[in-house]
Amino acid sequence: MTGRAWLALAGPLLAGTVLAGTVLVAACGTPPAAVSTLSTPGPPPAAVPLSTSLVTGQGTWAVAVMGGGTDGDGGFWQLFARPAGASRWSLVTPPGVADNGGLVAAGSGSDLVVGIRPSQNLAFSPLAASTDTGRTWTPGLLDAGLADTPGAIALGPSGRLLAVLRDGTIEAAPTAGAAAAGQWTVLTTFRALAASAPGRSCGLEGVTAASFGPNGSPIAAGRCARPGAAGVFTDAGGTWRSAGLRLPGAAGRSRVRVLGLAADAGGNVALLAAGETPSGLRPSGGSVLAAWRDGARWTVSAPVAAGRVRALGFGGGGSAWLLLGDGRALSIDGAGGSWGTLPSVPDGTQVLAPDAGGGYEALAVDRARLTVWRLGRGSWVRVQQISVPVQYGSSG
Amino acid sequence: MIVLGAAPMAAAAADRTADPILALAIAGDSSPVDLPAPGFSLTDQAGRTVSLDSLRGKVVLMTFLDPVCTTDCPVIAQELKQAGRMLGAQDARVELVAVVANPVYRSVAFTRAFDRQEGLASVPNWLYLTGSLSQLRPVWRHYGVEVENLPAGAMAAHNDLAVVIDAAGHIRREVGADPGPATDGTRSSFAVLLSQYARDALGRT
Repeated sequence: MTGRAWLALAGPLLAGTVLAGTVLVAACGTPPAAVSTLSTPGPPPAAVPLSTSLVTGQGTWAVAVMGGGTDGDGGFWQLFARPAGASRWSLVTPPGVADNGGLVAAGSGSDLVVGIRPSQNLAFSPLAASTDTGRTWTPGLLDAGLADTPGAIALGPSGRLLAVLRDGTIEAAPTAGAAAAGQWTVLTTFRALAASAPGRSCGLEGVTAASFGPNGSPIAAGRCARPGAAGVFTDAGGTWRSAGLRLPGAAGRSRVRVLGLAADAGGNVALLAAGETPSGLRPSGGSVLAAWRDGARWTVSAPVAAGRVRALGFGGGGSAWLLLGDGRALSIDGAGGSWGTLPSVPDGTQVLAPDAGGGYEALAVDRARLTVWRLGRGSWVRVQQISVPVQYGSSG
Repeated sequence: MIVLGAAPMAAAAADRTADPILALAIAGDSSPVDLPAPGFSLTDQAGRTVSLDSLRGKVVLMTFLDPVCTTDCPVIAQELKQAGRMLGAQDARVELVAVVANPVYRSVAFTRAFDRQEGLASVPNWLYLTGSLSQLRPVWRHYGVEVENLPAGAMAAHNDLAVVIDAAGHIRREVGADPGPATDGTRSSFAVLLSQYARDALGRT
């Protein structure tokens, strides 16, 4: 009952209104003890948390969980934006919906779409779209639950949207307007994708991300049971085909999961984990690779040893970053680049975000306070703090 | 101390999980009132215009629900649905009405999604009404419901209440509709109260 002050309804009535002297109450109440009937189907356990960053024409966006435990449990997910050309971040979390289940963001050009993962008694995913760096939001609806992966939404340059659902189904909406009205159609199901020729070839176990290719065709990515197979598929007019990604060396003999997938100028970039066990664990022998496609041909980075991935994200020009469970922060430039290790990140760092100068900022969370650190001359320098008005007890 | 009449207790006895004492303990007692119900004209989940006048002749159990609420609202909707079941044949003379209580997520697409989520799409006397903000705000205000966006990933705030409007368009009861922890012990407790209040209102016609 924290933070609640429910109305007493037996009070006197005023002419013209039914109730008088109302006291605004906290949000829609206490979490019921009754567990929701949401099903939590199939595909794989989350490979990485939803904390991430992305770059659009509007600026740079970061998703982080705040106010909960150190593992994010019980927290409220927040969206921050740093407009293009600006140096400071602002809190721009879409209003009107509880986001304890997580936020997933996707951008293209000057558009950004955020999906709110369902939690507690909510079974579907409200959406919010912005074209002004989060100052205003337009609501939308996905009448199903988004998957628990940062690649669960993709936004194409034409405004077409893809959404990966919890059961691995991929739905599509032709425009933002259609998405606002909840008009989605099934592009494929996990079962159909797994039964397709490339799905069988990889032994598809789950869908982890969706994106668009340079010609606007949908791309799906997932986790393969067959060692060495990288599950990246393109939709060629209703027929799913392998995108032709092959991993070299030891990674080519390991189980591979696509951790993240993004569209980039003229192609795509993917982050892949190799060396997983069937249960999704990555022992000390695991590695992560980046792969870039220029429209037809893939270029694959050297592997970097990596156990648990705490967060990942993509920048411009095919760049990407990783935060690892052992505390390392890694980054890689575009195609042909090699992994570099960043200086040890500040405590509480959840997200890295590319800055305008080609470096990185680290966004660190301590309960309801976000601290922005900028990498300069080999060390992290604190440049900004934001106190987030977390509404403890309102909906978590 | 809350004293209950025999009728609600008898109704509660028909459902092993229903205990109206719990409902009253959670949301407070409700006294009979007699006030003209403020009129409204909103849009239902099928896109049809529904006004309070168009419901004249029926008893209306009305509440305010956020279609993207993660906690109470789905539980309250189930209580309304259950109240309809408890009314049996009298249910045909009662409309179960909810008005959207969210300034952002308030389109018909959301009322429909909520109905599917809660299994309400096939309930014939269920109406989930919405409209523009300029239509909703006066309804919220006239019925004493305060709705506000909260920052930083929290649900929209609103108070939980239900009103019982008789067939002549007069409010006969105001009920706190906070479902509390929604345990087995409290589930259906509001349904018992609401169905009893609906019977009382039907008895006036």
